[in-house]
Amino acid sequence: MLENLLIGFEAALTLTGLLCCFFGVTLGTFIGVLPGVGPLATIAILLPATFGLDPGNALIMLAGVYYGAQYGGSTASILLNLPGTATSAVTALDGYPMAQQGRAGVALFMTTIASFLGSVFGIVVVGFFAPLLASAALEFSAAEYFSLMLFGLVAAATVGGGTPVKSLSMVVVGLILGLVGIDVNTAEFRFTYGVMELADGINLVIIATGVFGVTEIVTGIMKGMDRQAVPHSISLRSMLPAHDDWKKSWFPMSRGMGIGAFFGALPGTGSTIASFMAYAVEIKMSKRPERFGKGAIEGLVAPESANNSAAQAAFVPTLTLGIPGDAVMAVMLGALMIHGIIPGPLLIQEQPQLFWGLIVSFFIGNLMLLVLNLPLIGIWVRILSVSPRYLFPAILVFICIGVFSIRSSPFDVMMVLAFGLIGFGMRRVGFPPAPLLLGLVLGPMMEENLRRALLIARGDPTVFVTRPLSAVFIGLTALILILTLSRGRLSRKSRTAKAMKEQSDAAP
Amino acid sequence: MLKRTNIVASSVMVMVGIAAVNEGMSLDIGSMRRIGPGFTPLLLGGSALVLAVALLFSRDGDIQPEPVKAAIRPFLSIGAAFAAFAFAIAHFGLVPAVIATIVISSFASPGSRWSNVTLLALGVAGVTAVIFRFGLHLPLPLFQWV
Repeated sequence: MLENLLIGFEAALTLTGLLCCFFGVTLGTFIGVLPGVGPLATIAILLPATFGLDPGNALIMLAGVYYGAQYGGSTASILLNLPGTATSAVTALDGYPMAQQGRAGVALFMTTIASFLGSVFGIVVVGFFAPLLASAALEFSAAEYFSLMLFGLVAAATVGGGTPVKSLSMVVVGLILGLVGIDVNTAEFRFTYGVMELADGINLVIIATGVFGVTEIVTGIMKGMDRQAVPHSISLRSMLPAHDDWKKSWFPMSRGMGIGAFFGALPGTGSTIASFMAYAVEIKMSKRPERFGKGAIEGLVAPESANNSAAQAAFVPTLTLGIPGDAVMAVMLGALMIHGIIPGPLLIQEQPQLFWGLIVSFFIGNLMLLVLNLPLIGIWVRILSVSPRYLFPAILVFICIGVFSIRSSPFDVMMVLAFGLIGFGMRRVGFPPAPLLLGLVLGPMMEENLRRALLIARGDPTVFVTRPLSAVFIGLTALILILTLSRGRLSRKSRTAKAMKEQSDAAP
Repeated sequence: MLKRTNIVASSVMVMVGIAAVNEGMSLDIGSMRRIGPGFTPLLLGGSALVLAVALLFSRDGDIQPEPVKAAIRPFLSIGAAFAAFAFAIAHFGLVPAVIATIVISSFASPGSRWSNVTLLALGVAGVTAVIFRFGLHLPLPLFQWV
C-alpha cells in the first residue's frame, strides 16, 4: 500500500499536476455554485481542451471539476434554494430554511466540513477496494462484461429516480444513438441516413452538452430564472457553528459517508441516489423527524457527506471495470478512452502511476477545496448575484467553442442545439436524461461484448446464464426488474382498491 | 383516461422503435454465431416497441414531466445564436463569433440592458481568446476576414 501511495505522490505532485488539480477544483466549485450548467456539461465542455495534456493530468483536472462541483452545488442550494447540481437538491431542503433563519454561514461551513470528510472516506474506499475489485475482475470474460453492463444499465434505470419505464426507454435511446456511424466490423453505415458528418458517430460531448447544458439554459429561461432575486452578503463570524451543531452532526455525517461510498461504488448508481438515501435514513433515525425541512442540521450534513463520498467512490467501478457509476462517470470514461487509456482490471497493473496519482490528487484536491471554500464563500455570493440573464449567454459561448474545437465542425455546433431542443422535449414529457448518457457510453462496448461472447460460445445464447458469474448478474438484473415493476403495480392496486372502498363508503 | 404525456412518450418510443427495426432489417442480421450489423438495431428496436406499450400505462416517478411554458422568443434567439456562431466561427473567426452569440442570445431574456450586454460580449470575447487560443493553443483564428 505504501509504495502505491508513493507512486501516486510522485505522479500527482508535479507542477502541471498541481495546476490542473487547482484549476479543476476551482472551476468545479464555480460550476457547482452556478445554477444551470452542472459538472457533467462542464466536463464535457472541457474535454476537448484537455487533449493537449497528458492523460494523468487531464483526468486530475476533470476529476477535480467533478468533486469540486459537489462542494459548490450546495452553496446555491443554501443561499438561493436553487440547486447548482442535481445532488444538491436535497441540501436545499434543510439548508435554505437555515439560511432564512439567519444561519447561512453555519450551513455553508458545516457543508464544507461534511463534504471534506465524506470525500476522504470515499478516497479510502477507492484506494482499498479498487485493487481488490480489479483482481477479481480478471475472471471476467466477454459474457460477464455484457451481463454486468446490462445489470448496471437496468439498475441505473430502475433505482435512479424517475419512472423506471421512462428511464429504461432513455437507456434504449442512448444505446441506439451509440450505434450511429460506421459499424467497426463490417464498415456498414448505421443510422446515418446519408449524412456524412455522422459517419464517425455522434460525439458524447455533443449529446452531453446539448441535453444537459443547453436544455438547462433553455428551461431556465422559460421558467423565468433569469429574473431571480439577489442574495444578501454573509459575514465571516456568522459562519462558525455552535457546539450543539457539531454534536448533532457527527453521526449523520458518518452514516452519510457510508451510504455514499456504497452507492458510489455500485455501478449504475451515484451521488444523486446517495444523497436522497442519506436524507431518508436520517429522517427515519431521528427522534424528532418533524424538524426536517425546517432547518435541521442533520438533514444538511448527511446528504452532503454522502454525495461527496459517492462522487469519489464512483471511480471504483469506472476505473477497475470500465463500467461508469453515473452519467458523469460515463463522460470520464469517454475522456479516458479518448486519451487512449482503456479502463479495466489491467489499468492498475499497467498504469499504476495513473491510477494512484489520481487517487492522491483526489486527496490534494479536497484539501485545496477545504482551504478554498471557506474564505471564498463571500466571493461566490457576489458572483451569484450576477443575474443569470448575463451568465446564460456566456455559458452558451463556452459550449459553442468547446464543441466546435472537437473537430472544427459547424455541423457539430448545430447538433448541440438540436440535442438541446430534444432535451427540452424530454423534460416536458418526463424522460430523464442521465440514463441516455449511460446507454450511449455503454452501447458500443455492450455490442462488442455481445458479439464476442456469442462468437466464443459458437452462437449459443444460453452462455449468458450457463457461465456462473454471468448468470449471477443476469439473475440480479431480472430481480431488480421484477422488484421495481411489481412495486409499481402493487401500490397502484392498493390505491385503486382504496379509492373504490372510499367510493362505496361514500355511497348512500 | 390515458395521460397526455404518456401518449406522447409512447409515440416517441414507437417512432424510435420503428426506425431502429427498419434500419436493422435493411442491414445483414447475421447468424447467432456471428451477429451482423443489423442485429443490435433490431434487438433495440424491439425493446423500444415493448417499452412503448409499457409507457402507455406508466405512473410518474420522482421526475415529473415539467409543464414548462414554451415561449417562442427564447427558442428563436438561442437557435439564432447557435446558427450565428456556427456561421461566424468558420468565416469570421472567434471574436466576431463570440460577440454575435452573446448579443443574439441575450434577446432570449427580455429587459437585458444594452450596456451590460456589450460589456459582457467584449469581456467574454477577451476571456475566451485568452483561455482557448493562448492558454490551450486551440486552432481557432481570432479574426478572419474571408
